[in-house]
Amino acid sequence: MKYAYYPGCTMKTSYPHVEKSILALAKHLGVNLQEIEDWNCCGAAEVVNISMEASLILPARVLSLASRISDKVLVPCTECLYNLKRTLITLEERPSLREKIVGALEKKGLKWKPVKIYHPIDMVIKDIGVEKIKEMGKERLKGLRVVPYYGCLLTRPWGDDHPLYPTSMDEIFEALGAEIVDYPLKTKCCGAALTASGDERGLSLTYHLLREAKRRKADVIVVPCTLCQFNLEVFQNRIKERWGEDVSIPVLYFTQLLGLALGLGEEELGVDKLLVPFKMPERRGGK
Amino acid sequence: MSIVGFLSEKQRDRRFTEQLLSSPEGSKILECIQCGTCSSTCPLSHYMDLTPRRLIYLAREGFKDLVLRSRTPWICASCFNCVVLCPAGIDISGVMHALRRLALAEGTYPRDEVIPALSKSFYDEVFRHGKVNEAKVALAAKGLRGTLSMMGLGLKLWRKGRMSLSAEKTRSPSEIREMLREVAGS
Repeated sequence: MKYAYYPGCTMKTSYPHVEKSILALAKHLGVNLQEIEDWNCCGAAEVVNISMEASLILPARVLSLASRISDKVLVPCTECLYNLKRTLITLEERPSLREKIVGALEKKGLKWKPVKIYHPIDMVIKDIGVEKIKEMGKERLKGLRVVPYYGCLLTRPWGDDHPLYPTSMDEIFEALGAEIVDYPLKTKCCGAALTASGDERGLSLTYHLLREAKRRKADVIVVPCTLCQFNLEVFQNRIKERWGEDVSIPVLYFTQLLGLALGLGEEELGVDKLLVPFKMPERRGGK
Repeated sequence: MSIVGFLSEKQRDRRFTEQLLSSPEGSKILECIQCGTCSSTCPLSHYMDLTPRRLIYLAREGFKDLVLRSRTPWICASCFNCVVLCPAGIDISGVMHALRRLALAEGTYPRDEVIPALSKSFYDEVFRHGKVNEAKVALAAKGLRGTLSMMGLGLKLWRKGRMSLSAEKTRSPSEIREMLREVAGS
């Protein structure tokens, strides 16, 4: 199993703790990840506000470089995931844009060859399988109340799971012994860039998400998106100051909690770098 | 008083509607049935001066100035809730992106929103380096006061190795620059 691996810009600067867990988990599962050589930014949520064509050529270059390595590319950031998928679909549906973008790629010696785009959740479900994960996990998450929070871009506008009521993470963590908390807000937006920039309008969304997880007595929130991990974790103090309510709860990226459930260590998964610490069930002094 | 106020025929600009219809995201706005599903499912519509339904109606009727001065496209977090529920299959989040491009080009975007400045400095950074250090770009867009308000948090993250101000670059940023110039002309 070989993947082209596209970390994206923020993975290197803001989420090295998440990247550690992706690499450690892939190694543990026998998946060969080859980082794309000399990859560039996907354009995030911003470049499309300046130019449609610019927002297509950036992911197109990444996809072209990925196709040299494998017919599958692994993308752990959901903003990158969205941009790569959007580029594939737009170039498919809009011949005039395809001509322009592919022409510019070819001038630089790059071939256009579409590849399949996988999030780490897709990789676990399609290439490893929940049965295998269950076997490997030995119910290490028993006694843990988990909120799988999916956010937006994993399932919207494109994804394999239901856009408003996805269940992929529910199934994976249930198979690992966790108690899945019924959480109706699982695809409500965290505010994305608005929240990350410290805007209170975005922060109010994050507040409601955290409050509901607390109200339902969750031990941990698990997310498939690095920006969700950031927004839900780092503003907990600010939310307490603003709304006068304790919303402290650990927030782990998908591969971090999965890695722990498969017996990997906190440090190799970057779990020691969380601002809100997390401990596995057997070490809490309870069951 | 309503933000819209008295609307006159003089304010309508057919070319604006055409412009939106010819963008990849806005091609279906004439199919909108004004059901309001977008506004009711939007997690942020209570902060918007024009709800998404209203914005689309005014846009397709050509009220360019009103639409391009609206806060709504800059508050939209692109969660795609409305997009997956829209019975007419309109890419509403995408329409917001198209409106952002037009408002930035016309210079009519609201000056107290942070996303316009963030978009510009983000693009400059990609253009220059091919990669982006998001924290650096965000701080540049927030200005000195905004930067100071984030310092405590930044320090905490830095101690955990989760904050870096290093300049990230592709091996040959000029290659990216030439490609961007060719397709986007800037």
